[in-house]
Amino acid sequence: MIGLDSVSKRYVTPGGVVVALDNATLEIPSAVFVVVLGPSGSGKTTLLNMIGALDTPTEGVIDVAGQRVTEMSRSQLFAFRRQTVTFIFQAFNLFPELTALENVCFGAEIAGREDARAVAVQMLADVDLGHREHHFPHELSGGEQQRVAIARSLATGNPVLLADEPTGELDYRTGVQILGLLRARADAGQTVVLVTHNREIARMADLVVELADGRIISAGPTPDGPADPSTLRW
Amino acid sequence: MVRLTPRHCAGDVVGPVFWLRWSWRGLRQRFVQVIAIAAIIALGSGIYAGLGSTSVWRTQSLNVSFSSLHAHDLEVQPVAGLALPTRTLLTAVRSAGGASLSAVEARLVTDLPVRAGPDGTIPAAGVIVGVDLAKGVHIDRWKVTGGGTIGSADATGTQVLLDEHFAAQHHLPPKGELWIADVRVRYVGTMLSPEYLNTTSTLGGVIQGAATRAVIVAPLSLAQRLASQPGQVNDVVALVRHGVSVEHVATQLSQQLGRSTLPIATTVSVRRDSLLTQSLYGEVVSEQKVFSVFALLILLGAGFAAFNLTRRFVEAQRRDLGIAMSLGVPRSRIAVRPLALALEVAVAGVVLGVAAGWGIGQWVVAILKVKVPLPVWQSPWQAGLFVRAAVLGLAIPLAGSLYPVWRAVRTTPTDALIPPHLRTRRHRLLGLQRKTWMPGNTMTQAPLRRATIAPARSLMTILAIALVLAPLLAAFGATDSTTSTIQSGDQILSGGRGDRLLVSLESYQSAGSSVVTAVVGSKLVGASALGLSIGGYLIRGHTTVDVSIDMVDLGNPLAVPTSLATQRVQPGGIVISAKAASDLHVAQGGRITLRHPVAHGTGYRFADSVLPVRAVVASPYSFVAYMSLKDEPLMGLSGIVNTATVVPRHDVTMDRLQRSVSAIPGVAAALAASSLTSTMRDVLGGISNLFIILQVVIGLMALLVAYNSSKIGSDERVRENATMMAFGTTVRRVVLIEILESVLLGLVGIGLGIATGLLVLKWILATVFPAAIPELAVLESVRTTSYLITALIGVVATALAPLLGARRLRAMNLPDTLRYVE
Repeated sequence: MIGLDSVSKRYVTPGGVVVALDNATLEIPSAVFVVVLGPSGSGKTTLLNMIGALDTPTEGVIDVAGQRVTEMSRSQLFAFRRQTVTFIFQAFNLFPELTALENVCFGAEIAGREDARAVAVQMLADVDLGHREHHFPHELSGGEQQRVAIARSLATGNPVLLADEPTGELDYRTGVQILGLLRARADAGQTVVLVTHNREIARMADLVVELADGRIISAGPTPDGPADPSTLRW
Repeated sequence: MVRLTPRHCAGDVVGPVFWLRWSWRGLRQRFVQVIAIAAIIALGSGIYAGLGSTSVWRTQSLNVSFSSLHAHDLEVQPVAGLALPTRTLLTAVRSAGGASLSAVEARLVTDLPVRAGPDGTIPAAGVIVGVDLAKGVHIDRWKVTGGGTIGSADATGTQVLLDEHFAAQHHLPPKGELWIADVRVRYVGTMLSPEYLNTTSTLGGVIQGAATRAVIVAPLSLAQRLASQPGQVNDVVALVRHGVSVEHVATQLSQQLGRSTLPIATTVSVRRDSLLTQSLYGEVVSEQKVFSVFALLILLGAGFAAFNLTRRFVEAQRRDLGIAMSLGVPRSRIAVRPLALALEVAVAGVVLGVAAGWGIGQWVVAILKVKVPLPVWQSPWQAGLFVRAAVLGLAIPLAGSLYPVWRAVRTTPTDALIPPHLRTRRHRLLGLQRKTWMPGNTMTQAPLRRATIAPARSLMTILAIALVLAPLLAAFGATDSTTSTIQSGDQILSGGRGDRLLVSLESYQSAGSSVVTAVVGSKLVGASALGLSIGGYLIRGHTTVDVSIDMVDLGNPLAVPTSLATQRVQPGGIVISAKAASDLHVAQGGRITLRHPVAHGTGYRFADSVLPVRAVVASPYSFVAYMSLKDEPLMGLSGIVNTATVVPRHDVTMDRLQRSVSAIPGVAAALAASSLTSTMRDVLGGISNLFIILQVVIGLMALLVAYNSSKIGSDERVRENATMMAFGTTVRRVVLIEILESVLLGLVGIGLGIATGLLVLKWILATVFPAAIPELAVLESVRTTSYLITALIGVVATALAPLLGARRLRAMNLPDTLRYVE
């Protein structure tokens, strides 16, 4: 489903070359919940951004859902983001001028879904926000905003869901609720890649990829199998 | 105890240098935006300084033109254009003036028909100024603008000089041939004489200008020969000795000449009091009034735009202020950075404003030199104006920063720290937005939603665009209204009459004189109407209106507008224009005082007659007036005429008739009425040409305002745009959304700008124009093209601005933008 072959990302700065990701090779199958773990500056977000075609590698090859991302033109990259991947951000990044329902509608519409409104209503209901459809983002709590952001991503119907520290801004209780939702998406057949520095969250993953200093230092299934989100503590 | 302060730490933080350095870094980051806002201020203050200088330049140039070419102080003329032997008139004036006069010269100024251009195809009313070249011309000299000049060697020759105004109107070469009263002469150069700088006059109730009046400086002997007045002159000009009162000498001359043995009466006039001189200077003042209004309007628009943009610019730093507050930095210190930024914008605006003012000033001068030619042009630096503009340029951005800074430092740090996109928005439109159904999907709705999410910000942008466009429409409207009024006025006066030849006679003639008989009895003439054209004043209460009265057969459609001819107006009264009726608050049937000349001995005197207003013609010109020929006894001029209106026989062309009538001795001018309607340039002066500058400046300002609004808006929405692109929305689509939002606001701004422009136009027409062009009732008229151009400038500017940010969007670092956690 997702394949990285010898992927590196280097930045040239006034202080010299910074290696954000160094020769990463990885295979992620479909319909799994993957947690990319590592401390700040380890390269985990860089990895996520390159899978999601927000960033391009300096070298190496990336394949996602049978498409070679690293060989795509600019317009193909935009189409790839519309049709294949979808994002959940730590800072939610909702559109302030759109209501909760319209934010979710945006996800469905941009992905080209004809039943956009119906899908959006369903997705909001799925994240228990059916009663907040017509509220603007600033009228929602942080947890509610993130659930809207998840609903927006889910509404795209895209097979790969990429989440960058989705619980970083949230309290424990809300964070667990969000993780439960993401877990459910993986169980439903989507591939979920979640980036975090929180080792506890890694317990609920099917697969854990650990990075340090831009290198993949380990990758494999959780030893005891995926834990239930409600058992996580941090 | 010695305390050491780390070089780049707390000791600097409390000092102004640290804040200035921080502010400088901010300036470098936003350099383009700072320059763009500064450019708006610069254009506003530049046009204020550039256009504000015109009256000073023109007045100074006129003064220098008059003095350097030794324009006469006094002029003595026998009444009714009659001539006297040169020696007789000169001796009388010298004797009457005595030692008070430093120089006296005699001339023969005569009106004769002129034809210029290839084969004489350009007819004109010629003013032949015969000067004594043998003795040298020291008074009323001329400035040669092309070709050569004439001097003592030409005293008995046939070479002449042609007026630059006429030559320029018809693109005549600096040397060539022309025909004066059918006599071919050679002009060896073109010239400008201060005496003839005012080119506007009237002929047969129609405005005549540079295109139809040819002033020609000729050797005195040639002029005398052409006018069939050998050895005669009809004009003496004089310079008053330095330090002697001109008015005193004029009075003395008048009294002495009145007691002299001259066979005919004379008039003595002071040049600087003359109507022509006063209207020349008056035009400068009145045009400056119009320019000043527009310059102030543009400055107001620029000021508002700069104020709004600086406000938003400072507002964007609010979070930084919150951080500083939370760290305990005193409020006074926090305010330094945004105020320093505003000061930087202001200083940049002033520096650019001086450059813009100078550039616009040079442009103004270049246009004026072509459109309002003067013998000498001077355009010195107007320091006072520039200082005023600079003070305004400094004050506007500082004022724009004060409110947001004041607001920011008074809020709590927690409020200030909330990132803009998470700030609580409370306004009624949100509720409306929630309930209102909008067509299309979230993408197509985005422009409208973006425009309405922050109504106060959108409103300020709309107002900025409106205030920039309003003066543009008003400027267009002012030109359109004046042009259309003059055109309609000419149509009213000539309506239903077809083309006709307006013939002016050299002097008053009895209706049965040989010259009149030759004109109306010509085999080429199909119909004719005789008339007496005479000047006078309409008086009612404290209001006086100058009029040119055409005394004609009021029932003859050849002599008066058809609408008047059909009214069967009775003699014993006067017909005035709608403009004069309005100015004098009189209607048909009312009574009015006419101050008019009455023949008296060899001269004339003025008398007041109270007359009924028989009719009012729908003319916008206040000077148009008609009386019946039967009322001539009122003027003591029974049976006297000086004009004739003729039409060619059905098989004769107008050109043939014109050439034939022009050749009749005693005819001063014979011009087709249709040729006199192309002289609006002289009425409008340089105004319409200078409006081009306004259009360019306003177009640029609209673009800059739109660019800045779009740039600031784009910065405020950087996260939303990044999110859209993360979800696969193409850059093109994002730009399109920004363009549509910008155009949406732009359209409202354009609508408001046009509405405001129309209000401004109404105000200008009601207050500024009546003072600037009192003889013309300018009616409001805005052409469709003016609306379209105004709207187009607004649309192009607002649509173009987001395109300028497309490259930045394309180069946006999506991961960094999206990761930015508040």
